Amino acid sequence: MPEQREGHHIFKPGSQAVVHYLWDFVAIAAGVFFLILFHSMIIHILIGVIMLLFGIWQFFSTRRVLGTHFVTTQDDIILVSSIGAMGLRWNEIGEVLIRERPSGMQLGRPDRLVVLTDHARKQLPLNTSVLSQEDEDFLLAQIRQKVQCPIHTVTDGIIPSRPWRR
Amino acid sequence: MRLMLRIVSTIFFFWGIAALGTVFLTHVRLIVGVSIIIGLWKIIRDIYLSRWQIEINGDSVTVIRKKRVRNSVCYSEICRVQTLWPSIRILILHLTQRPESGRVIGDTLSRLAVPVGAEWSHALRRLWTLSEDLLIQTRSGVTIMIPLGNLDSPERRELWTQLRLEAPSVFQPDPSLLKKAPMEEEKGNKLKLDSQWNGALQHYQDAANLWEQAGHMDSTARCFRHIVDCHLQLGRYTEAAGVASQALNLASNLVDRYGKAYSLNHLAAIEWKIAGQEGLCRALKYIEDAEKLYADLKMPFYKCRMMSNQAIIREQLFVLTGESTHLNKCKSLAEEALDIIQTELHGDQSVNTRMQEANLLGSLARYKFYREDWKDASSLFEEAFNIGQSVGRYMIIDDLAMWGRALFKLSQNDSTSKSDTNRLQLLHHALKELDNAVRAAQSNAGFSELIEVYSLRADTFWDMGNMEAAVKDYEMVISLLESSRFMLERPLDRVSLLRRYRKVYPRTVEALLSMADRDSEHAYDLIERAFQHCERGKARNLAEFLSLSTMSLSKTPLSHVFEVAKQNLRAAHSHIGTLLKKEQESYSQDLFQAWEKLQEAQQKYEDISKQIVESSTEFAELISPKVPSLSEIQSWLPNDNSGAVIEFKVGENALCVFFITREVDPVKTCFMIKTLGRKELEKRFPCNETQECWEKLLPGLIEMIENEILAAPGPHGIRIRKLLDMPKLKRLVIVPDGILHRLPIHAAIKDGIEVTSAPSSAVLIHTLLPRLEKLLIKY
Repeated sequence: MPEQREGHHIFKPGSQAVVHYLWDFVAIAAGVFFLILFHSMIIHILIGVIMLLFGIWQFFSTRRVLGTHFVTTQDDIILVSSIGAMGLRWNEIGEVLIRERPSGMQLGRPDRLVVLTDHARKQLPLNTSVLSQEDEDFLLAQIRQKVQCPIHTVTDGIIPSRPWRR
Repeated sequence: MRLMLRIVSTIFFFWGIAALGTVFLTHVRLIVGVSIIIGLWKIIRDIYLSRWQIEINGDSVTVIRKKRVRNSVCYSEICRVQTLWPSIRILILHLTQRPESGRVIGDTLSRLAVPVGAEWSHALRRLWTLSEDLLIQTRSGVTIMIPLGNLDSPERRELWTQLRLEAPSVFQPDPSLLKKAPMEEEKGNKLKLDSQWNGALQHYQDAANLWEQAGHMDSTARCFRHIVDCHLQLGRYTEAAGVASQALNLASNLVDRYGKAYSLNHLAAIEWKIAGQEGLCRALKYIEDAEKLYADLKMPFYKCRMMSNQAIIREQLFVLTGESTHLNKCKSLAEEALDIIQTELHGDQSVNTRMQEANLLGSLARYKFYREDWKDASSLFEEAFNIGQSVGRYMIIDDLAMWGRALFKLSQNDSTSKSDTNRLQLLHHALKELDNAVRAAQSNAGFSELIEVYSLRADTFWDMGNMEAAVKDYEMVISLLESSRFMLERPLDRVSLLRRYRKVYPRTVEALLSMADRDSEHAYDLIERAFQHCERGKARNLAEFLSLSTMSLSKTPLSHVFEVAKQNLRAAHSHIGTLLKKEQESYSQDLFQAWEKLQEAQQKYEDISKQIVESSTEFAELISPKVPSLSEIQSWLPNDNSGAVIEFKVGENALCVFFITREVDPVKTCFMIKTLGRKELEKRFPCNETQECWEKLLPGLIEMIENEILAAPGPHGIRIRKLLDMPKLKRLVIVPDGILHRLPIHAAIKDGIEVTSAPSSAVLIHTLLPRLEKLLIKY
């Protein structure tokens, strides 16, 4: 269950979320591997540097996503990260889109994204895949309860399957 | 611990890159150098940021730095929150829109404050630390920058969560506010330009509310300044004082030096209008502070204007106190300011600069006027007048009248060196300027200006010997003074200001008696008018004495309330003075509260003063007496001519005598002794001896009174002694004046006459009448 404080619910990433770093380390390791073993050829150095930079960028990106909390209050839903806070009022939300992404290689990849859009087309994307399954269900239930607009669900994957989290 | 971890990680990361580059790559000096430099910068930055301590609580956030800085902000007070990028966007907008924002409304430069986050100190700190600092502004204008780089991710999230939950409106401002507020302000600006102050005031108040709701405190402060302008134009000084204090407080917190200087000037203007002598000293302090700020901002015109204002205040202090140091300071300030116009503002031909130059020349001319240097005064007034005319504006009305007076004096003094034609030309010019001043004052001038202008013209006529014209103007001054004592600015200086016009009463009496001497047909009427002005002058002196004294007037509840109100007003003024002395540079909430108290005290004082005049007939009679006529005095004297009243008025050139009996025609008994003017009396009767000396001097003094006063010849050989020798005279009431109060006149009067003294005939009647009426009812 999410943390409760003065009537607010604070949703924090679950312990399983560290798996999101998996693909970042793969890219970093590949970059280092290319730089060390094939540094005599300029093309290999270039590939190594690109992979290393990509991996580092991915690592920081994942770190930021995992550093995101969702706060729900009586009136608002707020996305709190270390660089700021974005929020929407429940009554201003005009559209909810849930994107399911079950693809072949699921482990460690974001498998669900909830995009809330208000009447002024301002979007609040919530990467709910960082939450534990229980918290995510609770959050989705709250969204369904509070919003007064249709909720669309889109499945992006070619082969539909179940989420990898347990 | 956190700092150590950061330093270690920096060393490993950047210097690790450098080491890897050295091992695996050739010709990589640049990469190694850059890595080491970035690593060093990162370590220094982390050390700097680690000095900041941030406490995030449930209701407030506190920023502490080495015990020296401790800023705490309650979430409920927050009006704006900004991160780095919005600040940069606002800075770019500010720089691109600057020409438009620095526009002139009317005579006033309206300049936007530097927006939040664009101040040099904040921008530089952010630049060198490359830290995503968080700027928080409160409704009082205080800005706090929280170095986010010093917080780890959970702390940052905690801060953002608290801010988002406790101050939600800051994150979701109503966009319509930002549209409505500038529109309202623009409407106010248009009405202000058309001098429609009430309408403008309403729009500015709406705009200020909207800006405040939107959290734009810099714009709120700007609207406050416009509101003060409107209040000042409408003469609502106490309201203006409250808003000006708020504007000053905001500007101080916003570090808006221009706004602060502007508000200080406003406060000085308010002090000038309502406060007493102490208030003028505070106004000087305000303006000195404003001058320093304008000097820092490199705005020579405004610096010059502040110096000019200081010169005017110094001049007013000289008028009130008579201390020549104020006048000398006024001169040096005016000269310094003129020097700025001639050097730093050289070539600036704008209307404002030219008028400022004219004002400064006017100040210098007035200095010369007070120093009786008529030649320089008139040439400086002329120079100021020409500048005013060249830009299509007229001179200050007082200056015009002073110029006329200076020209007249010049025509009198330089009689030896100038031809008659020149003198006549000067005289003509003088009278023309005085007439212009009176005409201008009649159409558009304040109460004080009107009195001053008429008084100066009357003085000129007096010096010319044109008594009819002098009396006409002096009587106008008297009627203005008597019509409303509360119209004069600065209630606490009222007595000092009125004292300037004390000479008007004896001069009018003297002039009327001299006219009566020449015009036998209208002599009685003229003597009657002279007597009434004599009584008014005495009542004025008495009122001034009572107003200055600390004794209570009587035990009536109203007089007690009046005394309390007066004390409160003085206390409120001195409280502000104490606060300013204590706080030096900072203008806090206490000052605002002090101003509010002053407003209340001021209001109460005015209300009670009016109430007293309306309801308490005794007090009203005292300060604005219904003066008795000669015939009224005569009617209260005994039928058998056994009683008489002798009333004196010490004039400048003569001693005025009103000898009143029941039956003798006053035309024969009211006259002037021309040899006994004020100076002459003071010279002949030096009354500064001690009591012992008096005892020795008394016999000689009585003889002198007998010879110099009682036996002094009036017109047609009439003497006081002769009148006192009337055979039926048994009782005499002496109403002395000035120095005569200290002379034992009664001792010089023959035995057999009962002598009584009274401060004035009006007082005599007001004390006697009720008793006599009681007696008449009884019998």
